[in-house]
Amino acid sequence: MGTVSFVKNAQGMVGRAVRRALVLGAATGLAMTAMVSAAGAATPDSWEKEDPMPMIEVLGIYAGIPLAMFGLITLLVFTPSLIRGSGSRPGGSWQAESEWFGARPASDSTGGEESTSGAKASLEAPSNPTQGGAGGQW
Amino acid sequence: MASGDTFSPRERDELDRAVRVAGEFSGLSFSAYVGEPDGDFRSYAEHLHAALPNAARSVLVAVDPRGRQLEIVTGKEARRVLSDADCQLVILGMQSAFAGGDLVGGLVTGIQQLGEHARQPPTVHTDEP
Repeated sequence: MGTVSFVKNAQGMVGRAVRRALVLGAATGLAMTAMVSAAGAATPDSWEKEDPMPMIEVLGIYAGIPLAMFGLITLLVFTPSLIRGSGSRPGGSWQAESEWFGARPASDSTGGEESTSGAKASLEAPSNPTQGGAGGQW
Repeated sequence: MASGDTFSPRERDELDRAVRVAGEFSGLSFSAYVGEPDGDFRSYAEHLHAALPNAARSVLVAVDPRGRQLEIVTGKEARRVLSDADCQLVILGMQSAFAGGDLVGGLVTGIQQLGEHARQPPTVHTDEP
Protein backbone atom coordinates (compact mmCIF):
# COMPACT_ATOMS: atom_id res chain seq x y z
CA MET A 1 0.00 0.00 0.00
CA GLY A 2 2.71 2.38 1.05
CA THR A 3 4.70 1.74 -2.08
CA VAL A 4 1.70 2.35 -4.36
CA SER A 5 0.91 5.71 -2.80
CA PHE A 6 4.62 6.57 -2.95
CA VAL A 7 4.73 5.74 -6.65
CA LYS A 8 1.59 7.82 -7.32
CA ASN A 9 3.05 10.67 -5.35
CA ALA A 10 6.28 10.41 -7.32
CA GLN A 11 4.40 10.43 -10.61
CA GLY A 12 2.55 13.55 -9.53
CA MET A 13 5.83 15.22 -8.65
CA VAL A 14 7.37 14.28 -11.98
CA GLY A 15 4.34 15.58 -13.86
CA ARG A 16 4.51 18.86 -12.01
CA ALA A 17 8.21 19.19 -12.74
CA VAL A 18 7.64 18.51 -16.44
CA ARG A 19 4.88 21.12 -16.61
CA ARG A 20 7.03 23.67 -14.86
CA ALA A 21 9.91 22.99 -17.26
CA LEU A 22 7.65 23.37 -20.27
CA VAL A 23 6.30 26.70 -19.05
CA LEU A 24 9.79 27.99 -18.33
CA GLY A 25 11.09 26.85 -21.71
CA ALA A 26 8.23 28.48 -23.57
CA ALA A 27 8.75 31.75 -21.74
CA THR A 28 12.47 31.73 -22.46
CA GLY A 29 11.88 30.92 -26.11
CA LEU A 30 9.46 33.80 -26.49
CA ALA A 31 11.84 36.22 -24.84
CA MET A 32 14.70 35.08 -27.08
CA THR A 33 12.63 35.49 -30.23
CA ALA A 34 11.62 39.00 -29.19
CA MET A 35 15.24 39.93 -28.57
CA VAL A 36 16.36 38.47 -31.88
CA SER A 37 13.79 40.45 -33.80
CA ALA A 38 14.91 43.59 -32.00
CA ALA A 39 18.55 42.89 -32.90
CA GLY A 40 17.62 42.18 -36.48
CA ALA A 41 16.65 45.79 -37.03
CA ALA A 42 18.77 47.64 -39.54
CA THR A 43 21.18 50.32 -38.45
CA PRO A 44 19.60 53.74 -38.32
CA ASP A 45 19.92 55.82 -41.49
CA SER A 46 21.37 58.67 -39.49
CA TRP A 47 24.53 56.61 -38.94
CA GLU A 48 27.18 57.19 -41.52
CA LYS A 49 27.66 54.20 -43.77
CA GLU A 50 31.09 52.64 -43.86
CA ASP A 51 32.53 50.87 -46.87
CA PRO A 52 32.94 47.11 -46.40
CA MET A 53 36.42 46.08 -45.33
CA PRO A 54 38.75 45.27 -48.18
CA MET A 55 39.32 41.57 -48.70
CA ILE A 56 43.05 41.95 -48.07
CA GLU A 57 42.41 43.39 -44.64
CA VAL A 58 39.90 40.68 -43.76
CA LEU A 59 42.34 37.98 -44.82
CA GLY A 60 45.12 39.69 -42.94
CA ILE A 61 43.17 39.74 -39.71
CA TYR A 62 41.47 36.36 -39.86
CA ALA A 63 44.18 34.33 -41.58
CA GLY A 64 47.40 36.31 -41.39
CA ILE A 65 47.46 36.94 -37.65
CA PRO A 66 46.65 33.32 -36.67
CA LEU A 67 49.27 32.05 -39.11
CA ALA A 68 51.81 34.50 -37.72
CA MET A 69 51.03 33.37 -34.18
CA PHE A 70 51.33 29.75 -35.29
CA GLY A 71 54.72 30.42 -36.80
CA LEU A 72 55.91 32.41 -33.79
CA ILE A 73 54.89 29.73 -31.30
CA THR A 74 56.45 26.99 -33.40
CA LEU A 75 59.65 28.99 -33.56
CA LEU A 76 59.64 29.58 -29.81
CA VAL A 77 59.14 25.88 -29.15
CA PHE A 78 61.84 24.60 -31.48
CA THR A 79 64.50 27.27 -31.06
CA PRO A 80 65.99 25.98 -27.77
CA SER A 81 66.54 22.46 -29.07
CA LEU A 82 67.93 23.83 -32.33
CA ILE A 83 70.40 25.94 -30.41
CA ARG A 84 71.33 23.07 -28.14
CA GLY A 85 72.00 20.80 -31.07
CA SER A 86 72.10 17.06 -30.89
CA GLY A 87 74.26 17.15 -27.77
CA SER A 88 76.65 14.49 -26.66
CA ARG A 89 75.49 10.94 -26.30
CA PRO A 90 77.49 8.21 -24.64
CA GLY A 91 78.76 5.39 -26.71
CA GLY A 92 80.22 5.37 -30.16
CA SER A 93 79.70 8.98 -31.05
CA TRP A 94 82.71 10.45 -29.27
CA GLN A 95 84.74 12.17 -31.95
CA ALA A 96 86.58 14.90 -30.18
CA GLU A 97 89.63 15.52 -28.11
CA SER A 98 89.60 14.62 -24.48
CA GLU A 99 88.35 17.29 -22.14
CA TRP A 100 89.23 18.38 -18.64
CA PHE A 101 87.04 20.10 -16.10
CA GLY A 102 88.45 21.43 -12.90
CA ALA A 103 92.10 20.96 -12.02
CA ARG A 104 94.13 19.29 -14.74
CA PRO A 105 97.56 17.70 -14.77
CA ALA A 106 100.46 20.04 -14.35
CA SER A 107 101.73 19.32 -17.85
CA ASP A 108 98.94 21.63 -19.03
CA SER A 109 97.90 19.64 -22.02
CA THR A 110 94.41 18.77 -23.09
CA GLY A 111 95.15 15.11 -22.87
CA GLY A 112 95.92 12.80 -25.74
CA GLU A 113 99.41 11.60 -26.40
CA GLU A 114 101.44 14.24 -24.62
CA SER A 115 99.56 14.26 -21.37
CA THR A 116 99.62 10.49 -21.32
CA SER A 117 103.36 10.28 -21.72
CA GLY A 118 103.83 13.07 -19.18
CA ALA A 119 101.62 11.32 -16.69
CA LYS A 120 103.36 8.04 -17.26
CA ALA A 121 106.75 9.59 -16.85
CA SER A 122 105.74 11.10 -13.53
CA LEU A 123 104.47 7.82 -12.19
CA GLU A 124 106.29 4.62 -12.91
CA ALA A 125 104.12 2.15 -10.99
CA PRO A 126 100.89 1.27 -12.75
CA SER A 127 98.89 0.95 -9.57
CA ASN A 128 99.28 3.24 -6.61
CA PRO A 129 98.13 1.65 -3.35
CA THR A 130 97.32 5.02 -1.82
CA GLN A 131 94.71 5.74 -4.44
CA GLY A 132 91.15 4.67 -3.92
CA GLY A 133 87.91 4.94 -5.78
CA ALA A 134 85.65 2.82 -7.85
CA GLY A 135 84.90 2.10 -11.45
CA GLY A 136 82.34 0.59 -13.69
CA GLN A 137 80.95 0.24 -17.14
CA TRP A 138 77.57 0.89 -18.68
CA MET B 1 92.92 24.23 -25.61
CA ALA B 2 91.51 22.39 -28.55
CA SER B 3 87.85 22.41 -27.78
CA GLY B 4 85.82 19.79 -29.56
CA ASP B 5 82.23 20.30 -30.50
CA THR B 6 81.11 17.60 -28.14
CA PHE B 7 80.03 19.84 -25.29
CA SER B 8 78.02 22.96 -25.77
CA PRO B 9 79.21 26.06 -23.92
CA ARG B 10 76.30 25.64 -21.58
CA GLU B 11 77.18 22.02 -20.78
CA ARG B 12 80.78 23.05 -20.25
CA ASP B 13 79.59 25.73 -17.89
CA GLU B 14 77.44 23.25 -15.96
CA LEU B 15 80.35 20.85 -15.58
CA ASP B 16 82.73 23.60 -14.51
CA ARG B 17 80.24 24.76 -11.93
CA ALA B 18 79.64 21.24 -10.61
CA VAL B 19 83.38 20.71 -10.19
CA ARG B 20 83.81 24.05 -8.47
CA VAL B 21 80.84 23.63 -6.14
CA ALA B 22 81.85 20.10 -5.17
CA GLY B 23 85.33 21.42 -4.37
CA GLU B 24 83.99 24.23 -2.24
CA PHE B 25 81.59 21.87 -0.52
CA SER B 26 84.15 19.30 0.48
CA GLY B 27 87.46 21.11 0.54
CA LEU B 28 88.86 18.59 -1.94
CA SER B 29 90.02 19.28 -5.45
CA PHE B 30 87.72 17.77 -8.06
CA SER B 31 88.57 17.09 -11.67
CA ALA B 32 86.64 15.52 -14.48
CA TYR B 33 88.21 13.94 -17.51
CA VAL B 34 86.20 12.94 -20.55
CA GLY B 35 88.15 11.20 -23.24
CA GLU B 36 89.69 8.04 -24.46
CA PRO B 37 92.17 6.04 -22.43
CA ASP B 38 95.55 4.89 -23.54
CA GLY B 39 95.38 1.24 -22.57
CA ASP B 40 93.60 0.00 -19.49
CA PHE B 41 91.17 2.63 -18.31
CA ARG B 42 91.67 2.18 -14.57
CA SER B 43 95.44 2.48 -14.70
CA TYR B 44 95.16 5.35 -17.17
CA ALA B 45 92.82 7.18 -14.79
CA GLU B 46 95.24 6.55 -11.93
CA HIS B 47 98.07 7.96 -14.01
CA LEU B 48 96.05 11.04 -14.77
CA HIS B 49 95.15 11.42 -11.12
CA ALA B 50 98.76 11.09 -10.01
CA ALA B 51 99.73 13.84 -12.42
CA LEU B 52 97.25 16.26 -10.90
CA PRO B 53 98.57 19.03 -8.72
CA ASN B 54 97.90 18.16 -5.09
CA ALA B 55 96.95 14.63 -6.05
CA ALA B 56 96.53 13.46 -2.46
CA ARG B 57 93.54 15.74 -1.96
CA SER B 58 92.17 15.27 -5.48
CA VAL B 59 89.24 13.33 -6.79
CA LEU B 60 89.24 12.47 -10.48
CA VAL B 61 86.14 11.39 -12.32
CA ALA B 62 87.20 9.87 -15.63
CA VAL B 63 84.73 8.88 -18.32
CA ASP B 64 85.42 7.13 -21.58
CA PRO B 65 82.25 7.67 -23.59
CA ARG B 66 83.33 5.51 -26.49
CA GLY B 67 84.41 2.60 -24.36
CA ARG B 68 81.49 3.15 -21.96
CA GLN B 69 83.73 3.08 -18.92
CA LEU B 70 83.99 5.33 -15.94
CA GLU B 71 86.37 5.55 -13.03
CA ILE B 72 86.58 7.58 -9.87
CA VAL B 73 90.08 7.93 -8.43
CA THR B 74 90.63 9.41 -5.00
CA GLY B 75 93.90 10.51 -3.51
CA LYS B 76 95.36 9.39 -0.21
CA GLU B 77 93.78 12.16 1.87
CA ALA B 78 90.61 12.41 -0.18
CA ARG B 79 90.03 8.73 0.47
CA ARG B 80 89.64 9.40 4.18
CA VAL B 81 86.47 11.41 3.62
CA LEU B 82 85.35 9.74 0.42
CA SER B 83 85.36 6.00 0.92
CA ASP B 84 85.44 3.51 -1.91
CA ALA B 85 81.90 2.50 -0.98
CA ASP B 86 80.76 6.10 -1.45
CA CYS B 87 82.42 6.13 -4.84
CA GLN B 88 80.75 2.86 -5.78
CA LEU B 89 77.38 4.34 -4.89
CA VAL B 90 78.02 7.37 -7.07
CA ILE B 91 79.22 5.11 -9.88
CA LEU B 92 75.88 3.30 -9.81
CA GLY B 93 73.97 6.54 -10.23
CA MET B 94 76.21 7.69 -13.04
CA GLN B 95 75.93 4.35 -14.81
CA SER B 96 72.17 4.59 -14.95
CA ALA B 97 72.31 8.17 -16.19
CA PHE B 98 74.85 7.27 -18.88
CA ALA B 99 72.85 4.24 -19.91
CA GLY B 100 69.91 6.59 -20.38
CA GLY B 101 72.01 8.70 -22.73
CA ASP B 102 72.60 11.64 -20.42
CA LEU B 103 76.37 12.12 -20.33
CA VAL B 104 76.50 15.63 -18.95
CA GLY B 105 73.65 15.15 -16.49
CA GLY B 106 75.22 11.98 -15.12
CA LEU B 107 78.59 13.66 -14.71
CA VAL B 108 77.14 16.72 -13.03
CA THR B 109 75.01 14.68 -10.64
CA GLY B 110 77.87 12.31 -9.89
CA ILE B 111 80.28 15.14 -9.09
CA GLN B 112 77.68 16.81 -6.90
CA GLN B 113 77.09 13.57 -5.01
CA LEU B 114 80.82 13.06 -4.52
CA GLY B 115 81.06 16.56 -3.09
CA GLU B 116 78.18 15.88 -0.73
CA HIS B 117 79.59 12.53 0.40
CA ALA B 118 82.94 14.15 1.07
CA ARG B 119 81.44 17.00 3.01
CA GLN B 120 82.61 17.08 6.57
CA PRO B 121 80.58 18.94 9.12
CA PRO B 122 82.62 21.76 10.59
CA THR B 123 84.01 20.92 13.97
CA VAL B 124 82.98 23.56 16.45
CA HIS B 125 84.07 24.27 19.98
CA THR B 126 87.26 22.29 19.65
CA ASP B 127 89.15 24.97 21.49
CA GLU B 128 86.83 24.83 24.48
CA PRO B 129 87.14 22.40 27.34
